[in-house]
Amino acid sequence: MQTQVLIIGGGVTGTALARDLALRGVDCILVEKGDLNAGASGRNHGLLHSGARYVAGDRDAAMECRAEGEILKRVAAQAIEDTGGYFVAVQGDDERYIADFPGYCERSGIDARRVDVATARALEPALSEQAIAVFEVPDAAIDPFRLSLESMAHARSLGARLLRRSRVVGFEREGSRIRAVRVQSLGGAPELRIEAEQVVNAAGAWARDVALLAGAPLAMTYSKGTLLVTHERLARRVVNRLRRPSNADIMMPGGTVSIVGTTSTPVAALDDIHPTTAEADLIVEEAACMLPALAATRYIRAYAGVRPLVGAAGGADARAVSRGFALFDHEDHGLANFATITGGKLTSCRLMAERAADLVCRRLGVTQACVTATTPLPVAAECAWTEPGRSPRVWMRAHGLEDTLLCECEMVPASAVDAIYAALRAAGDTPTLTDIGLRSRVGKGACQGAFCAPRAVAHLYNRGDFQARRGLDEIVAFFGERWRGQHAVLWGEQLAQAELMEALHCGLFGEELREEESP
Amino acid sequence: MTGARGDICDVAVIGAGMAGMSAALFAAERGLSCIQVGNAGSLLFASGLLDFLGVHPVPERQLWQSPLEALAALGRDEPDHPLARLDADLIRSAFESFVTALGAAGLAYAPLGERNRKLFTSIGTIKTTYGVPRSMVAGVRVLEQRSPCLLVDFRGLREFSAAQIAATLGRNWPGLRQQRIEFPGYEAVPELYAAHLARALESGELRARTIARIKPLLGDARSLGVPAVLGLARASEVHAAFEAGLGLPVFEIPTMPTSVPGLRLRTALETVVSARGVLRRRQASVRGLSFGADAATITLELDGAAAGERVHARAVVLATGRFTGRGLTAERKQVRESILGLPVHQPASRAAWHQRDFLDPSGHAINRAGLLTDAAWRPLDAQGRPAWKRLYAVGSILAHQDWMRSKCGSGLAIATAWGAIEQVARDLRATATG
Amino acid sequence: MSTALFHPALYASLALCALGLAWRMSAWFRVRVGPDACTVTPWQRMVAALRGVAVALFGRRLFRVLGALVLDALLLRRLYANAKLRWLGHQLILVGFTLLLLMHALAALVSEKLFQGYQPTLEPYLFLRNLFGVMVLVGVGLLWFGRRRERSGFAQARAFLGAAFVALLGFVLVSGFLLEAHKIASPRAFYRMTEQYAGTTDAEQLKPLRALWASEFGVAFADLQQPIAADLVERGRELQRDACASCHAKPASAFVSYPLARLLAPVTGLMDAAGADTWLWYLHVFACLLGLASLPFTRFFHVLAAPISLLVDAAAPQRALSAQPYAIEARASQRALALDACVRCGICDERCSVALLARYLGNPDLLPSHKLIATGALAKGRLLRSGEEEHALRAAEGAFLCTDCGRCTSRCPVGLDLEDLWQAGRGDLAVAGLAPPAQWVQARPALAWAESLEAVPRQHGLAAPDAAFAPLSADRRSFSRCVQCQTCTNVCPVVAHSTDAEHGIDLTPQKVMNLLRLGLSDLALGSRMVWDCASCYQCQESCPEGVRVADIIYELRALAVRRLGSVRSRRQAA
Repeated sequence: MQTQVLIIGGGVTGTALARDLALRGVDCILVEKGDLNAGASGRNHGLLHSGARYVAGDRDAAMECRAEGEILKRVAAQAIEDTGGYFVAVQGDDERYIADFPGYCERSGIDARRVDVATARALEPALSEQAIAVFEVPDAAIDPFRLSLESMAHARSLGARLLRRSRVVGFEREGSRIRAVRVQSLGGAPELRIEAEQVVNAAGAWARDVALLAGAPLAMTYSKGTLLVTHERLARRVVNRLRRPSNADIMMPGGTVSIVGTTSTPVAALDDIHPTTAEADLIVEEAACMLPALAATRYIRAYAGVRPLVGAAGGADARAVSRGFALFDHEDHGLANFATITGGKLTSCRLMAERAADLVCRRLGVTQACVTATTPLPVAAECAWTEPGRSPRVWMRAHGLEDTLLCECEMVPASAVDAIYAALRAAGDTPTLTDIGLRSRVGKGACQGAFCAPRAVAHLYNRGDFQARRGLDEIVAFFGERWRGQHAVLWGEQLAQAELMEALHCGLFGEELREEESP
Repeated sequence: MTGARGDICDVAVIGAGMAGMSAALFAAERGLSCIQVGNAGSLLFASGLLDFLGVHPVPERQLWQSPLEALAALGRDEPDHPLARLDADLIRSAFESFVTALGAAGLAYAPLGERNRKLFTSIGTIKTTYGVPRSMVAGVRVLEQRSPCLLVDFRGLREFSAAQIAATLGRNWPGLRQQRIEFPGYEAVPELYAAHLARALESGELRARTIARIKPLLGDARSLGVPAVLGLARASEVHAAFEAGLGLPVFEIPTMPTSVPGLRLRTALETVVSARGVLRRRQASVRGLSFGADAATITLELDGAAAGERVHARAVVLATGRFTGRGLTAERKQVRESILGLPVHQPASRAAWHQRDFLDPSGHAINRAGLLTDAAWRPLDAQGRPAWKRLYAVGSILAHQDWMRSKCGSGLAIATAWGAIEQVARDLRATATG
Repeated sequence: MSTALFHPALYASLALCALGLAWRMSAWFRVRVGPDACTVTPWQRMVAALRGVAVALFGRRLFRVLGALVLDALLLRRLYANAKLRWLGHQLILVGFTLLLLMHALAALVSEKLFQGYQPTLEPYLFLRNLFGVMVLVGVGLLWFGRRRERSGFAQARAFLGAAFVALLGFVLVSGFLLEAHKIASPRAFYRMTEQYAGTTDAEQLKPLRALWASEFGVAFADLQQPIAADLVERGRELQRDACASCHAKPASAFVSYPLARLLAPVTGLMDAAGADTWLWYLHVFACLLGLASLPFTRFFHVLAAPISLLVDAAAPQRALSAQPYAIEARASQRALALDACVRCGICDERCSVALLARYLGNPDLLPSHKLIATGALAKGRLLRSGEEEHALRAAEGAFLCTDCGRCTSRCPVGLDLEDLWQAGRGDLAVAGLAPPAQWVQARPALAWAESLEAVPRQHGLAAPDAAFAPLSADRRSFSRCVQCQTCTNVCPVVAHSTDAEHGIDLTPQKVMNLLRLGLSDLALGSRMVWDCASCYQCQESCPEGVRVADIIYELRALAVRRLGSVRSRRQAA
């Protein structure tokens, strides 16, 4: 295989880079060891920062957020719910910071407007009675899955290629140049050799491992962040704690749910990242100061991501390390056609891609300028199913006799599963239930797959897409994936739900026994 | 004599799931006056299959053909397991009583034997169980013999795919075929619901049309498997009509909730329990219990539809279930018993409640949490003494068992209910004579 | 004293009353409630009524009718069962007023014929008249007290005419007592009597009598010397025995009027001078005549209509048992009769299952007693006049939010078949273009409604309805127990019988619950499920986790009327 640019990593940056390059007419291949947004890109708040969170500590980051936020609201409106955000201080919070906050915001050009506490509580009844100050800022919610899926879909329509479940296992170096990259497919297909003129490492948290493989050591640390998903949406707006960034500061609207977090724990390794019960407790207890309903509400899921932090080492507080991004040209490592783009935030992904693309284009001698700041991201029908609350509308508008709801919690119809399946097939992929889950709301609701997974599998058998015992394997794999996020929040109603799931899938179906059919 | 307002009944059963129903049934059969409080909705989660004991030890996933041998092994390895505290013959007679009572209410089960049976489920897995409804029992032999068999499903019944079962089991079963048909009368309806089909099949006309649609598809099949939708209250009649109309054995395949066999169980148990004079407060829950100063009566304060009502009993059987049944409440830091706040045997912290893998062979520790009781099925207080001398606990709320992994849910419910009611009868007799 | 005006006034009142009664009673055959009532002529209805009377008199139902007459119409058995205090008030008024009417007002026709030597100033009549009067006054007081105590939160339906009539009744009683008291105390009356019956005006001759009447009969002579000599009184007593005793007993047993007379003593002279006996009499009598003339035009017409309604109800085939449909000719008249027979007691309002909702919505027309008036107004065409649009919409909301629970009918003390009336009223509303919500809501798909709602900017982005108005739908805890097991849908008979692709159920109960949980309640408001729900409560009773599915769906109906109603009128305006 040959290409001009090989991009390693299918997160928000990698996909944005693929699109950026494709828009400049550069041929590229994106290899991703798992699925799109499998790392931090899919395990964050989904907050399109106004920048107000960083006004005190990192003014550059704040201004960058403001500018990029405005751009994304223009070009990727379909992935954004422009909710606005509140910064809320409660009794006991640092008065000084509250007093300084409007000044900080003004200095960074962020429009922060003081809101009367009573008014704010009328508009967001979930806010604590203990609230003492509220500011409104232009925060918004962004769906990172939709962003990546549509960026990639757009890139592919312009000729870019995507290889999912393909891990980079080696670089063939020739002097200062990488001649080819060896890629191993997880499906067991023979190893691929991809010759590329330029290689961009956009592997996020895994960027250090990739760079090391290419012979370029990077100083990076990892910080794990855990978030909780509630059963219902508790507020319309983004709600931030008005204080210096700390634990459990933000409650995001995630369509039909709310997402609360995060934590920040230094981790050394990237394997086996999962939320813990202690983190869940910490978030509930801390966030409930600002939003008391969080102490009693039902949580359906937790997830943990790893922030790649560039430049720091040792046990320093990860929040003190810049959340800004870093672009390495690796020329000091003696590499002329390798670059790493990592760090940063969801909000700045487009800018990160632009900077990386600029470097690559300069090296390739491509003079085309970046157009992603002005070119709207085309809406791709098969990518729209991640949007919460959308599928019930689509289904209610019209549905045929065969178009039943496979997922009741989030009301995902068979036609959505069919569209996603068809799009993946068209790209030569073998779609799994987990792939469908990533591209839709299947399994994201209250039942966490207990009912929708068997329905989806039955549907795929009926269509002839699944054969032999594949359905069982898919269900087990899907539950494995869902459970990683569930076990930390299993108390109250959700424990009853999980118990029912086990009663059904173990008690009745005996999936844990994997009893072969021969007696 | 049965607790009309103000009167004192012999025993009050809290809960109307499998264990509560069993307790009410056995109490009535022993001539104890009984009032039962609670909604039988959780029976709708039942598959209709009555597990006795299928797996032991859980981590080794060892399946047993003989539940009695499994019970003996359980007794050796886990003497604290509630089932292990009961005599095997006693459990079998409890099962017999239970199934006989169901039969009296028109819900026929195949004769119980000494062996577990195996049949396949709606996702094509194989289920080891003990008591099998007559409408499902042909499926046991079919699976054993792998004889030519046709599976039929209905377009629109989302939880059931004959194609899935045939594909999953087909590798070693060449004669297994599948067909999809339209359910008569529902051709224009996208989503079908099992209970609606079951009710529809009680109409002779729709049944005949369904049979007529299946008949031409039979080919060389020597039996027919369908989702469990063959009638509700008149299931025996519907099943018989299918077999007569098609001229071969027909069996139902257990499905996900809401399961029609679960609905049948609920109806049959409600019928038989009421017929035997148990007074039921279906839409009520229990707000609290208070114990008489003389220690001879216990007063239940009702809530829900019977809010404000008080029920007095000489003995109380707690059959409130676990988390789904709301007998146990899981708070973030600990598990509580929902009505009385009885101490719950549980892991030290929530971090230990669940494994990191859903299907971890060891099972989840939280599932072994529950109430500890003395030998007389009386839950213990914090000091390890019986919380009250006439308060008993039965069913899944008991500690030291994982019914979902051991495949012993019905056995646990029926057997502990039997044991506790025997104890209640003994204790009340002792009070009366002493 | 001149009573020249009396007879013309009496005849005028009688004529007015008779005409009024004829007009009101003819309405029982004229007024058409319900579209089916329009299929029969007044003539047919009258024939049916006559036939009904004949059947009742000569058929097997006679005993039931007689039973109803005694137990229901006279003893007010149903009222006794529902409201003991009000029953007592009613019985006091009924008995007291009837006896006053017979003994006192119609004395020439009744008392004088029945009782030899009847004189209103003799015992026991003197005492009885006061007793009956007090019974009426106490009864009125009890009703007033009861009314104040059991308010539904809304002004009572058409309270004014009722209050005015009660005031008139009170006035009749009070003026009667005053008149009697004045007559007792009046020296002028004394002198008139002595002149008329003893034929003397000689002061000296009357002195003993005066002394007796002043000391024992309460006459307030202004010129009497005090203290009165005992022997004078004794002499007076002799005179009294000979001349007066056949007509006059001591008035002390008139336990209201006599003390009143003593009270009035200081001003009796003035009153005499002013001719109080005449004008008090006029006031009393004319108040009575006013009452008589206005009776058919106030809600006290029920004193006639209610017993008739009870008798008709007893004579009619029994609702629940009757195999054949009750002929519309008779039913149409019964409905019209019901409009008059309602006593506005409000017992139905207290029992109404949507009473709470009425308060939330601020719409009294949800309550039966108000709805009955609106139904009548619609039947008589008054609700469709210009200026009444608002009320018409309110009435429609009230009519169509009724759950048909039947509690109003079962509790009605005058035995009205209110369920039948509501059904007929809904028919009339539909004919008048005030379609039931189910009809106008279902004319558009649920999604179209949701999109209309979206066009209306809202302060709260969360689709949280007003918590006070729809507490269950607004509280996320209502759904957080749901484990997605589909039991509610599986037990739903409406979904089970929905086999028509086009008009069938669009959302199952479970999907409705999920939409609410997802904060997408707007998508559920216009759904067929919400409007086709049979309120059988199977879902709620079967839910293993105790979600109040049916209650929530019912709440959504009310919410839909309010919210979809707002965008509907907006659309119409646009």
